[in-house]
Amino acid sequence: MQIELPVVPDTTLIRKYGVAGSRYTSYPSALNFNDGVGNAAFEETVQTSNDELIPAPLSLYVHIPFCRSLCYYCGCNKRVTRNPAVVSGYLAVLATEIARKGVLFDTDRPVEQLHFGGGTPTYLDAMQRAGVMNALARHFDLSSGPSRDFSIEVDPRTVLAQELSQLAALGFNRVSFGVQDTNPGVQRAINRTHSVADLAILVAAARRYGLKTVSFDLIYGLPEQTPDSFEETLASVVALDPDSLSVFSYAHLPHLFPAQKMLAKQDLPDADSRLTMFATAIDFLQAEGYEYIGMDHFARPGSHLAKARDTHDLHRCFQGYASGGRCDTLGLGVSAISRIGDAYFQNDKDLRGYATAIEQGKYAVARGYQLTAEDRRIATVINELMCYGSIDTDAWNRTYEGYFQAFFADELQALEALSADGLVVVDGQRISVTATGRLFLRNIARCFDRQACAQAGHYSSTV
Amino acid sequence: MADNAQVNSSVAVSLPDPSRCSGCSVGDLCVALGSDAQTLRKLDELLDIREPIAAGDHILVQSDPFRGLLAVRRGLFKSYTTDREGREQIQGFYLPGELIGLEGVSRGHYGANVQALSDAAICRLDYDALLKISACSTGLQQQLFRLFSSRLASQHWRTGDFAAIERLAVFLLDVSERFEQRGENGTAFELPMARSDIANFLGLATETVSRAFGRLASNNIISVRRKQVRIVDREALLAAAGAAGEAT
Repeated sequence: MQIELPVVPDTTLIRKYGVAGSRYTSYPSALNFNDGVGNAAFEETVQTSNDELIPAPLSLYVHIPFCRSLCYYCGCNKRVTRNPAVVSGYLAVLATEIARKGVLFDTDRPVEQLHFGGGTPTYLDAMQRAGVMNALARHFDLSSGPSRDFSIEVDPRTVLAQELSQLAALGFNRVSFGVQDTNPGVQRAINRTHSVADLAILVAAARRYGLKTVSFDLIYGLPEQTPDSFEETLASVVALDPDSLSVFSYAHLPHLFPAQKMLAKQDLPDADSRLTMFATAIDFLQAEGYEYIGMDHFARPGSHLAKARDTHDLHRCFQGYASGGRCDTLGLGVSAISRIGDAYFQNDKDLRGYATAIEQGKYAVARGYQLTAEDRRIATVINELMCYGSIDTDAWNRTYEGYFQAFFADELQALEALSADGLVVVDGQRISVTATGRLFLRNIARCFDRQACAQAGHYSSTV
Repeated sequence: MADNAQVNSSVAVSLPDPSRCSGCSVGDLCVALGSDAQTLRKLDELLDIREPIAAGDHILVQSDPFRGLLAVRRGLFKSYTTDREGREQIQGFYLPGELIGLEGVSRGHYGANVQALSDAAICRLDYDALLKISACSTGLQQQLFRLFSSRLASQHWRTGDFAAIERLAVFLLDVSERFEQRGENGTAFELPMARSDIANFLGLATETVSRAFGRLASNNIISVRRKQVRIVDREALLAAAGAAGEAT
């Protein structure tokens, strides 16, 4: 599949389209979740998913919320603690949740995707990691095939090289290193210091032990960053030859994420610098042979994300892009989100509330969302645009036994302005995102978003 | 002659009335009984009540004495018996427009439990009244005779030594034909029952049923999405039914 390289646009387009908007890690966004969807709906939805003629395989997400110290950019659900009792208490509750939810799923539904996120999953020691994996293996059919994608987020400051061999032995085959930036000044500003030399040792160990996919997370828009310093960061990490990279835009929303109050708005790079950094990343990474998957993701040809895109198995999820689009996702742990059939369910976001619910014999589902028939029609369009940059309206008509042009008449009209700016081409039965338009995927998707109401304060800038 | 007088007064009602057979929105409901206007008007006389039924409710119990037939107006039903160990064996599924209880005519009791698998509605057709009316309608009389004598084509394909894929193919062809008989789409339809119910009916393990669906789909004979089935290549599906198809 040949993908045209995105072309870095001029600043007028950036200014015009750089508005706040959803990143479409789900549609509708998690802001629409409501407490009318709870434990009873969760149980019923899982049963319905078992009843399907060919039930979907499973993707498990396990949330480990603990961190040893606070990173000032963080917008995740986490708890900074060094108290071992808090952690062991959480793991006991998590094991109970795994057992309780495991029995709901029919035994012939293999787990093809497994992701440990946080917080810091590698906060756990080797025994604790094995304990969680054993609980999962007891209650689910964990795939051991080569097409499985079992990943764990690794904070390079928390693991020794030899510990990566244990992760491989537990069945993980992908590690995602939270690098963020390699510049010492930037690292000090965000309270997260580690050396490239140590990272190189970990990457070499990961490859040696058979963790076949190595990903890096980077963030631009942090204090002390300049376009030059960020290019040096890019060069230093690409030298380690990761299979894929995420280059996230820092979203400064201190009213939502208290950790970010440690960063002063005036110390952050301005909009033009941010744009230059992202443009640099696109040019640099493409020159180094990475494909632009979309939004903030880059991958080597043949890597798991590129393959997923080529086999139409790519989808948007709360980690960004992922393979396993046909899986039902079960979230385990505090704040974890499940997507089963046409419904989302989120566990209680409060550690105490989550633990209490599980101890009381419940599923700890605090809120969720049941997609309507209309939502499903829109979600398909947004997912296709975000993942593949095009829509085949005939295929949509066949799937939904409807008429795309009539159903989306208003949306197609709104799209005309973006078409005039050269971001999309509407041609008969196909809507295609242009090379320039790929940098404005969120804006294009937003044309189809019927729930994009007054939620601007909750969102980061689209560019 | 009192009966005839009633029939005549009913003929005078000409506006479509959704509470009557002639105004039934399901369309070819009771297609097995014939759907000519005269018969439909007579059926109106037989109707006991149109009852809403909740998912999970039983409308018949195995030992119930035969009283009449039940027509599915909306929803899905299964009939099943239980063996000595209390295990359930599904005998069949009933779709809208189909009649339940025909086996009871000769047995004197229904012989199976019938349970709603979804929210549903039925019409009860009193058997004695049905016979009385059929005396006035040759068409209905013939239809009833045909139904009672030919009901239950051989189900040998369910129990004989046939592969999972053959059983599933026959099942899909059977459902397809039943949808078509009612004037509905027999190529793309929903199978609203749980896959465990299909497995029980076909005498297969639940995961075997899904593998068989998967094999038919990967060979582009059918396509499957959640509970929707589309027959892509009917010839190939007939071929897949193989010897089991001939045992029907």
